[in-house]
Amino acid sequence: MTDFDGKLVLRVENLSKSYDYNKAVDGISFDVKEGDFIILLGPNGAGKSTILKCIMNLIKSYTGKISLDASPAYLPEKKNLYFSYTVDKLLDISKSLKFALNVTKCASLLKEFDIPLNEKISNLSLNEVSLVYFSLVISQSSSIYIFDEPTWGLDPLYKEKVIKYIKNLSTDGNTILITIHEPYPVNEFDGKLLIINEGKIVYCQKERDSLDNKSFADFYKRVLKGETK
Amino acid sequence: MKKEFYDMRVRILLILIIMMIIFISFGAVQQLPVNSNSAYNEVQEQLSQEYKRLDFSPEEDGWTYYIYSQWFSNTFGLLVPIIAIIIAFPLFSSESENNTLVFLVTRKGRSFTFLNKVFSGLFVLLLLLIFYSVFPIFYSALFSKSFLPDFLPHFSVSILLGGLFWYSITLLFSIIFNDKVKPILASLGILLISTFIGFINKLDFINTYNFIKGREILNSGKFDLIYSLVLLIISMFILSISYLVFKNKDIDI
Repeated sequence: MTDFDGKLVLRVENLSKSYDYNKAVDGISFDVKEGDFIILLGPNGAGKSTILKCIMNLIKSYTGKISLDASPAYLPEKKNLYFSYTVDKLLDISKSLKFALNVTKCASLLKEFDIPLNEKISNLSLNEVSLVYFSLVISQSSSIYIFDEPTWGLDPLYKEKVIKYIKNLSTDGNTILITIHEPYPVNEFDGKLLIINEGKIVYCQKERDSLDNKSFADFYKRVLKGETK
Repeated sequence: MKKEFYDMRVRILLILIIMMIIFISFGAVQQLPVNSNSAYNEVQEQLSQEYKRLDFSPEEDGWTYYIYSQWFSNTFGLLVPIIAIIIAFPLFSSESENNTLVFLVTRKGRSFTFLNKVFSGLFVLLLLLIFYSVFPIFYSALFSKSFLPDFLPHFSVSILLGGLFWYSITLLFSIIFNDKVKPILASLGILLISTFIGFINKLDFINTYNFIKGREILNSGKFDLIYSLVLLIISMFILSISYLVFKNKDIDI
């Protein structure tokens, strides 16, 4: 179990989850404390999203223990929204579902992402739907933000913006748990890194070494091959 | 509830319009069955017996009997399970199919999401059923027809409980299945099977239509209290099972 300083927000103990005979998560344990920025890095199918779904109570059939002392703001891997709604209507409905949503902040983010409020969700591109979802999540007031592949499917320009907003959230002292499947954005975040492969934590790094993107990518490959512990 | 009502708006409007058209057409053709019946003594005899049971006079209360025997006991009664199925089937299955249940559950939790959906749907269903149960009173007043509402509560309660029963069954299927088609097929399948099994004399209690259409009220002028209690208990039981299934269901696997 990783052990960082601060007030405990989330504790995952010996978490395991199987799909039929395939073990997606295999005895994972870690803590998230107030103000932490935890990055779960791993290839597709490593079990990162399954861990988050268990934390978010979306998956019930797991073994192990999860203690979450907060109401999280969650961005799922599949960013599906109500296609028949307009963005404006979605904002209105979201406010009725989550009082902690700052509608003004969300509307200003959507404006920055060039998403018209009167547009139907079904008419938006995948990139735009992801940005709408992201805007709704970071406009929530929450004690922990959980992002599952926040930059997946985004245009490079918006990828940078999303990374910037997540960094700002962290700078403001928020607690963040994020999954990423490619090594590139990891260097952008000053977080604590857990590399996950085949359902297990194969590398845990408390303090980040300053590596350039290429060196980090090489390091990541070595970890996945089991050459670095 | 705001979201649920918004999602149901088209269905509510369609049901309102279709039922209104059916009732108005139904009102307009009142004379047809009365005239055709009068040509057959046997049928007229039978009709007189029915009137006696309900303590109506065939000459003076023709419209009242027509409403009870044709609107409640045929047209509306026949459509109650269908209306309940239409209201209930997409409540959860539509969210599962579009993968939007995550959006709700991660904001409001499972219990709130369940109760919100169940009560929104139930509220709309009961409102629609009550509206078309009392509508004959307003229609009669508007067109200066004499209508005796003595048995209206009997028929209305039958219709509400029948609606609740089929709503709870469809809701369970809506939670179990992850697409919109299967809950409709499963509910309609059970409706058809139970209706056909109910044709067997000793198993006629399985056919809920006998109760919803107020067969006992027409036959004896009495409300079947035991059947209604059993139906209510079964509906509550199915709703409780639905809650447990939803509480423990893996979402977005």
